[in-house]
Amino acid sequence: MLVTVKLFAFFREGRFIKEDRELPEGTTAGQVVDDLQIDREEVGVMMLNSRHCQFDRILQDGDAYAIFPVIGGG
Amino acid sequence: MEAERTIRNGLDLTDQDTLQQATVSIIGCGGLGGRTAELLVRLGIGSFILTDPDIFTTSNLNRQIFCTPETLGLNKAEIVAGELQKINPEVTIRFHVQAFSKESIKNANLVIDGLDSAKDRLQLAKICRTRSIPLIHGAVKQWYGQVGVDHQTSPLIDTLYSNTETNSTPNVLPMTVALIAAMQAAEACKYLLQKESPLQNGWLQCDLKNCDYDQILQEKI
Repeated sequence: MLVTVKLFAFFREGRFIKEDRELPEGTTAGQVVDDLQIDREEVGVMMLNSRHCQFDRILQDGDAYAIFPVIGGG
Repeated sequence: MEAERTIRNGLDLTDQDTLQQATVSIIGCGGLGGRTAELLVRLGIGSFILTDPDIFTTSNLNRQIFCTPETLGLNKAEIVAGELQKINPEVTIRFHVQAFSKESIKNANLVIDGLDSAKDRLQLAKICRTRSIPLIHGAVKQWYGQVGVDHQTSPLIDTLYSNTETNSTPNVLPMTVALIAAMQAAEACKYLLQKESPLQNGWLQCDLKNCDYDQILQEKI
């Protein structure tokens, strides 16, 4: 299945801004984070088709998945 | 001099008077807080409450507008208070050399988030919502920043920070601070003048490195 993954802020460093990724059926939101070697503790918000989701959410063909890091400085 | 001071804002007199009557509380007077304070006093905000328990240190020199070799070792809230008074001697300022409390937002029309910890932001947002005071959120890291408004029907801070317990000291570029602080000041101005803004129901994700700006809509509760 094909899922569009969009990364934000410093998650883009050494990765990409937006990419269509071919993923096995049953892939979860958390597995995509792990595959991208992003530390789950650094993830602030995940949105699937503009709605919030959790790591255990199973992705579907055609989904748009956005991953935002925690930005903490002031 | 008073009317002439803000004449080039180009706002009508009623709006300018609304800003003059407003009280803005700034929590954290370093990078974002200091910059936003400077913009808001020039805009014509009449009263400020400034809160920060910390002193300026050498590593603040890259991005904190009122951090200079002369202010190193001095309290941020006290220094910013003095600098705002230099820009407009007519402005009313209270400052608190301590961590924020309910007293820091007492009688404020809105609050500026100049904090740098998830835990503190969650706590501040909760206090603000209890009192129906909007919190203009901003945060920065490296080339990246975000800005949006947290209020009772759009609890942005919970969305952004509920999943985290990490609390590192991020690297921040001065351009990122200036951009996000300017946007916080703009959101503050619009809120006080009752002008609608998309960031009252979401947030803007800013990427200065790739010149990429995304507006994210917050889900309604």
